[in-house]
Amino acid sequence: MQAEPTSPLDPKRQAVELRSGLEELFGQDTFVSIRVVRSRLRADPDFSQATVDALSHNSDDLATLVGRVYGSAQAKKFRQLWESQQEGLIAYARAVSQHDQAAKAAARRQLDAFPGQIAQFLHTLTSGGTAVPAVSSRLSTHIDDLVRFTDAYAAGDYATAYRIERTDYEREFGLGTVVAAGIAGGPSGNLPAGFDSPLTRLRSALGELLGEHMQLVVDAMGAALRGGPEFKADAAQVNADTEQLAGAFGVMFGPQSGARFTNVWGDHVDALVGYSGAVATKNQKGENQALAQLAAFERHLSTFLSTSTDGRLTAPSLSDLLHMHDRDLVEQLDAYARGDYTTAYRIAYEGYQHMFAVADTLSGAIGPTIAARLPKGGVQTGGGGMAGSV
Amino acid sequence: MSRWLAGPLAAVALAGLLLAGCGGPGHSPAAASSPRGGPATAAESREPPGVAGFHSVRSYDRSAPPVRLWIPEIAVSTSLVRLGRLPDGSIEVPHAWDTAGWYDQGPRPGQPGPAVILGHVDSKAGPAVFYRLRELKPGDIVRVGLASGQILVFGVQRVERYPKDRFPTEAVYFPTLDRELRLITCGGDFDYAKRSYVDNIVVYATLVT
Repeated sequence: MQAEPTSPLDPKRQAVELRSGLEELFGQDTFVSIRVVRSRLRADPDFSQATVDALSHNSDDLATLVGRVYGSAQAKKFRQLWESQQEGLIAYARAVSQHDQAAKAAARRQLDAFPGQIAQFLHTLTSGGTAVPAVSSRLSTHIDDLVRFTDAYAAGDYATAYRIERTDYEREFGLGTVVAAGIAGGPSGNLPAGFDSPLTRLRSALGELLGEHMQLVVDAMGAALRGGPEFKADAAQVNADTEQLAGAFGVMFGPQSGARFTNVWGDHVDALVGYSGAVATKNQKGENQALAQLAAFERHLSTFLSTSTDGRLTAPSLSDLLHMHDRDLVEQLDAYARGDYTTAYRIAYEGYQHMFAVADTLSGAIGPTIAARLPKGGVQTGGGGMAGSV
Repeated sequence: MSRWLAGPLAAVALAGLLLAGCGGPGHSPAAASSPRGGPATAAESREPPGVAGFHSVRSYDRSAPPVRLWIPEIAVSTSLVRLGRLPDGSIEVPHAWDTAGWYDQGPRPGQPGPAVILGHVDSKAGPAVFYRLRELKPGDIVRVGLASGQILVFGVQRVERYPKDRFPTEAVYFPTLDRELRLITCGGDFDYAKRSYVDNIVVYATLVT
C-alpha cells in the first residue's frame, strides 16, 4: 500500500496509518544507526557506505511522513535536525575507533544537544500536542543507548551491545507512538477513534516483534556468514524475540499454540542460520537443504495460522507472505556474500517494512477470531449488603 | 519501496562523513566470504564460530500462576482462586466474599495481555474484598504474588465504571500484548429485582517491575 507521491496525510482520519508509520520508521532508526556504528568500527568502507545509505533512506522516509502532514518545508527542517544525530553518531564511532578522547567528547556534546532540539521542534509543530519532556527523555536515553552500544561493541562485549540494541528498538518504536499521538491528538489531546483501540495495539505489538525478528536475523545471518564474533550474542537476541512471539501466540490462542508456534518458528530460524553457514562454507547441499526447510516452514506455519484463525487466513496466501519474507532474507544474504552491500541493505530495509504488512494481515484475522472467544459481558460480584454506599 | 516514501526529498549526503583509515576490530565481510564467486579465502574453509552449534529456542517462559494479591492503598491482602467461564460466557466469580480470583483462561499476570482478577464488592451483609476498589487512583501500586515466589508490581493507570449492559468487552479483555492487569468488581446502584449491581468498576494497571 504505497502512498501516492506527496499525498497529504490527515492525522485525524488516518491516525492509525500515521501511528503505524512512525512506529515502524523510528524503530528502524535504531537498527540502521547501529549498523553504521558497527561498520565503522569494523573499518569496512564499502559496507559503511551502504549502511549510511540505509540510514539516510530511513531519515528521508521519516521526513516524508512528517511532510505528508505538515508540508515539505517542515519536512526539510525535521530532516536537518534529525541528521545532526547521525552526524554525531558517526563522529562518535569514528572517535572510538581512533581512540580519540577529545573527538569522543565533542561528538557526545553534539549528540546531547539533539534530543532537546527535536523535542522542541515537534512541540511547536504539533501546537503543543507533543510534550517536550516526553520526546526529549526518550531521545536522551536513545542517545545513551547508542553511545553505550558503540562502547560495548568496540570493547568486544557483544552480549551487552545486543541487549542494548533490543532495548533501544523498543524505546524508539514507542517514540513513534508518542509522536503520532501528539500529532493526531494535537493541543487538545483528543485522540481519534481507533488510534489506541485494542486491535490497533495488537497490530502494533505484532509489527514490533516481527520487524525486530527481521532486523535481528539479518544481522545474525551476516555474522554467521562472516564468522563474526558477535554471532552468539546476536543469535541470543533472535531467540529472545522468538520467545516473545511465542508468548504472544500463547496468550492469543493458548499455551499449546504458543508451544507449537515456537517449534515451527524455530525451524525457520534454524534454516536461515543453516543457510548462512552453508553459504559461508560453499556447501551447496547444505544450502539446498536449508531452502527445503524454509519451504516446509512456510507450509507448516501457514497451516497453523489458518487453523488458529478459524480459516480467516487462507494457507496459500499466508504461504506466499511467508515465502516473501524468506526470500528477502536469503537474497539479502546472497547479496551480502558477494559484497553487494547496497543491494543487501536495500532488501533488508524493504524486508523490515514487509513485516508490518504481515502484521496487518495477521492482526486483521486474529482480531476477530479472538474477539469471538472473549468472555461475555460484565461480572456479578456483589451481594448487595452495602447497596447505597457502593 | 517504502510504504511511507511519498516523494523524494532533497538528498542529503552523509557520504562525506565516511573517512577511510579508521581502526578498530576488523571483520570485513568481503574478505571473510565470497560464496557467490571469487577466490576462496581462509574464512571460507572453516565453519563460522557458533553456527554449527546454534539451535533456535524451542520453548517460552510462561509466568507462574498468581496466588496472592496485595493493594496497600485500600488494605487488600488476599489469596487468589482460579476462575473459569460460566455457561453464559461470562467469567465465573469467586465463591467466597473475602477472596479474589483470577481468570485462568486468559493471560497470567506478567504475561503479555490483560490478566483479569475479580473480587466481590460486598456480601449480602457487609463489605467484601474489593469494597474499596473504586478508591484507587492513578499511580497506586498493586502487587501480585506468583506461585514461583516472584512478586510483580503493577501501577494503576485509571479507574472506570461501566454499565453491565454496555460492558466494553474488548477494551477490558482483548489481548493487546501489553503486560497489564484488570481488577474488576461491582458498583453503582443495586437492582433489587435482579439482585445485582448495575455497573462494573474496572481498574486498569500496567506492569512496572
